[in-house]
This record gives sequence, structure tokens and C-alpha cells, in this order.
Amino acid sequence: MDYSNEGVLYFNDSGDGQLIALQLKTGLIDSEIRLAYSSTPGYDKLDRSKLYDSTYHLQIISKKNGTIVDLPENSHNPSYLYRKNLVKYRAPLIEQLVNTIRFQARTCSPDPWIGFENNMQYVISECDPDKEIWHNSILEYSHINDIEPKYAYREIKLQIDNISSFKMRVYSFFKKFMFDINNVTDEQSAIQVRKNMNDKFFRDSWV
Amino acid sequence: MTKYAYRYNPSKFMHVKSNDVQNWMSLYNIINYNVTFIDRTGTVQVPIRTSMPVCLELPKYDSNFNLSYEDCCQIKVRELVKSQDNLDVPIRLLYSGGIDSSTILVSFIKELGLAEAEKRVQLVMSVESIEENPWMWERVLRRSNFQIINSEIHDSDWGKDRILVGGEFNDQLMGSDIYKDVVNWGSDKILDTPWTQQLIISYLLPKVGPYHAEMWFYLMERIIKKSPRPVVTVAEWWQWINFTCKWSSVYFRLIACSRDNKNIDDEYLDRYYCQFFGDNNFQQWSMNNNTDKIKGTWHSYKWICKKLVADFCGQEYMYKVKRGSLWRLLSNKRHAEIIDNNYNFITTVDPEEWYEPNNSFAKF
Repeated sequence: MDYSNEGVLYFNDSGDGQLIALQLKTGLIDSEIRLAYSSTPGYDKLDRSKLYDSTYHLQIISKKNGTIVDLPENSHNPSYLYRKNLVKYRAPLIEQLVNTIRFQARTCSPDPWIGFENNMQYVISECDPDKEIWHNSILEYSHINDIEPKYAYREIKLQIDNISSFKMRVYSFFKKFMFDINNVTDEQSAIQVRKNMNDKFFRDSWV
Repeated sequence: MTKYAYRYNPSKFMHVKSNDVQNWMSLYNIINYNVTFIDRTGTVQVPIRTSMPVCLELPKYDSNFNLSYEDCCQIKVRELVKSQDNLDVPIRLLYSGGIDSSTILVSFIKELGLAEAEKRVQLVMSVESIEENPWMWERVLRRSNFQIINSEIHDSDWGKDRILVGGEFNDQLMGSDIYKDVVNWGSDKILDTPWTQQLIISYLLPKVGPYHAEMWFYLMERIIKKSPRPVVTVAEWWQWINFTCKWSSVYFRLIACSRDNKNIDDEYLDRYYCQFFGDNNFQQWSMNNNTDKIKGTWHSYKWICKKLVADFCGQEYMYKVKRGSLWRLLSNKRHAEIIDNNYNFITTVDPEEWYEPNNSFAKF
């Protein structure tokens, strides 16, 4: 939402919607994030694709419990229009970036529970392999998988080291590309950033 | 002093408008866009000033060479063990679990025995390595005393405290990853079919169009003619092209994503970096042997390596399909765009600075 006139700049109702909106906000001065519920009056006007259209303008009125209405024409101020135009180029890139890192992070940790590596990290930190001191969870893992505790420790440590290193690298590229996206101002620069993302996340590792 | 590229990223040149560069760029509709194409026969010159270290030059053909592939593997292990004794550092094997690195690991264990191999060799691996060869993991590694190192950190790991061993070059010896695409285009039978101009051009046509298909056939045929032995089949055609033109690319592609590269020069690479399948013995084996690489079908590709591994960790391995397992080591890394002949790792490229006007593409 544009702070100057409460004009709606972007809408996303997916699971990653808030993350994407937050990233968009980092590159748009005087923008805010608002929540809308399906029970909010005017909710059905919200349409992500339509909002990219330069002729489709909505307003979310905070003083009326977030009611969504058409943005009056006299509120179409230049800075709002400029930010709306930027969103058109940046939002699809951020969506692609967020989807990519989610996918990449998930592929490197095929455990049943997202973030389970944090639990494993704790278990590992409680062990002292030089003194053969093992956390109970390592002993359990060792017993169930019929391997010695030192091998269980090694196996789990390999897994969390891999996940941690890989996620950090992916995160590093996430930050790098967010910086690039926040400097996108037109179609040409958007195309270049998209190409760079595709190269870095996919094509550079083709062998 | 004139600089030459040992390794380059072709995409940095794709916007150069000149005709010869665009002719050359059509290659990347045939092969992956991040391949450094440098022809070891010296026949085809790309429009970039390139060179290669002496260790990568095409060896002189020895028609009397008669060692088997397995012999070459064991000799290489013995050489590495001797280097290790001289340098007194561990051998660190990049173990992806793929066919190539599995073959190397098996060779070490066969030569040294498991206990000794565990002491001398460390394994750089990831969870994907386990998935790639679950039999090796479950039957050998999981309960072994090999030191295991996270492969995610190896790109900063270019010190002098171990000998880094990788499984590159085996594809260049054996065939080409292009086989899979050729089979998809034709059929499995096409690999064993004698090559003809029409067949090669037909394959290239949908990728590059008629003009560049003819151009590439002309250029590649000149490279093919430099083969010391007759190149008869479609498989042999693409193997020779791969062997002669992608050699530098595979040698440098891991090096290109090194973060801490101040140690890296010819001397360092000669002592501390070994791509197992790149020595003279293996290259002579490849130039002298066309029967042990593939048996006419995509599934039989690298059958001799699969057999060595299967004999060791189970016959299920014979059904293993070749798939690239290197991508994890290359993904999400920052690569040097050019590595020059002084081992400068260049990340910002001015294409004009590297342009070579005396190239093979200007006349087209």
C-alpha cells in the first residue's frame, strides 16, 4: 500500500505473500503492508494481475476497517504512480526469487519437517566426539540404524553442515538479487536481472 | 604482456555484434552455454585469445599402448600414494557418488585395502553423494572410518594441506554427455551408426539452422580428421570432439568457483590438484580403445566403470544411469568469468580486450 494515498500497490494471497510484500517494501519508500481478509468489504476487487495494469487503481481505507474501494482519480499522485510502475517490474522478479530459494532450500533438506536441521544442530552441539560423549538422540539414531554412535554423529553432522552451508549460499544470492531488484526501474533492467537469476540459480551449474 | 584465457565464460561475449563472434556463439545452441571451447588439436580457433597449460595439451599418440582401463586406474592410485608420501598430506577425494568418483574410490580400496585407504583418503561429499550411490554408502562407507568433509565448503579449500582428487575427464575419455541428446533425437541405435555428413547435419539442424549446421560440420570434420584412429560411428565422432575441445573446460570449472585462490598456479595445481582421469595413460587408453566405452546403447555408457564399481559393491550398480552429479558443486557459486594464463581470476570482463581476430569463424 502506498502511504501517501493508501493506494494498493500489490496483492498476494499465497503462503509466501507476506514475504514477497516485505521484500517489495524494502525497495519502495513510503509503502506499508496491510492485511485484508476475505470478509473485508471490497476484497473481491483485489487481483494481483489486474493491479499490474496502469489503469486499475484501488485504495484500502484504514479508517474504515480496511475497506477496499476504487482509488479516486484525484488521488493518483505522481509518486504513487511511479511506485505502482516499479511494482509491475519488481514484483514478478521477487516472486520468482522467493519461489526459487524456497525450492532450493527444500531440496537440500529432504526431512519430514522444515527446519528440522535446527533440532539436529542442537543434538550435535551436545556431543563431544573426542570424548565419545553422545546426546541421547544420537544413541537412539545409532541403535535404530544399527551403526555405531560415532558414525551416527558423522552422518547427522554431514547432513546439517550441508544444509547450513547450502542455505547460507542461497541466502547470500537472495540478498544480492534483492539489491539488484530494488534497483530495477524499467523493463530492460528487469529482463537483465531475470537473466542473471536464471544464470546463477540454474544455468551456471549445467555440466 | 599479452594475456590468454585458460578458461572463459562464453556468455560474456554473446552480445558482441561481430559476425565471427555470432557464428561461434551458435555453438551454445548445441552444447551447454558455460563450456570453455578450446580445441586441443589446434584446428579451430575461437574469437577469444585462448591458451592452455602444458599439462592439458593433447599427448602424442602411442599406437603401442596396451594397458587396460583397470590398469590405468591402479597405476594412478599408486602415483597418488607416492605423491602423498612425498608431501605427507592426506588425499582428499571429491566423492559425488557418481560413476567417476565411485570408480576412483573403488580403485583406492582395491589397491590399499579398506583400512589403509581410510587412513590415507578423506572423502569430500554431501547427502546427495549418498543418494547417488546408496550401495557404496550402505555397504562400505557408512560403517567405515573415512574422514568425511562437507563438500559445500570445498570452494574455499585450496590449501597445501592435502591433495585434491576429482573425477573429471572420464566423460571426455569415454564419450560425451551429448549422447543422451543424440539418442533422444535419433534412437539408441544411432550411437553405433556410422557417421555421415547428412546424419551429423540433421542432428545440428534444429539447433542452429542450416547455415550454422553446415559451418559446424565443416569445422568439426577438420577436428575429426586429426584423430589418430579412424572415427567411424556417431558415438566416436562426438567422443573425439568432447575429448579434444572440452578438456580445458572440465579441468578449470571447479577451479573457477574457488573463493580463496591465491595459491593457485601451475606448480600448485601440479602438486595438489589431480583430476584422476586426465593423465597420459588414460588419454592413450581412450585414443586406442573404442570397444570398452559404450556398447551401442545409452544405458551401456561407461559400462567398464560401472562393472568395476559393481564388482565391488553390488551388481545392482550395473543399472546405474549416468547423470551429472557435479552440478551441486557448481550451483549457487560465484565463478570467475575468465582465468587467464597468469592465474588471474577475472570477474568483470571487457570482451574487446580478449578478442582474437585470427579465428576460424571470420570467413563464414
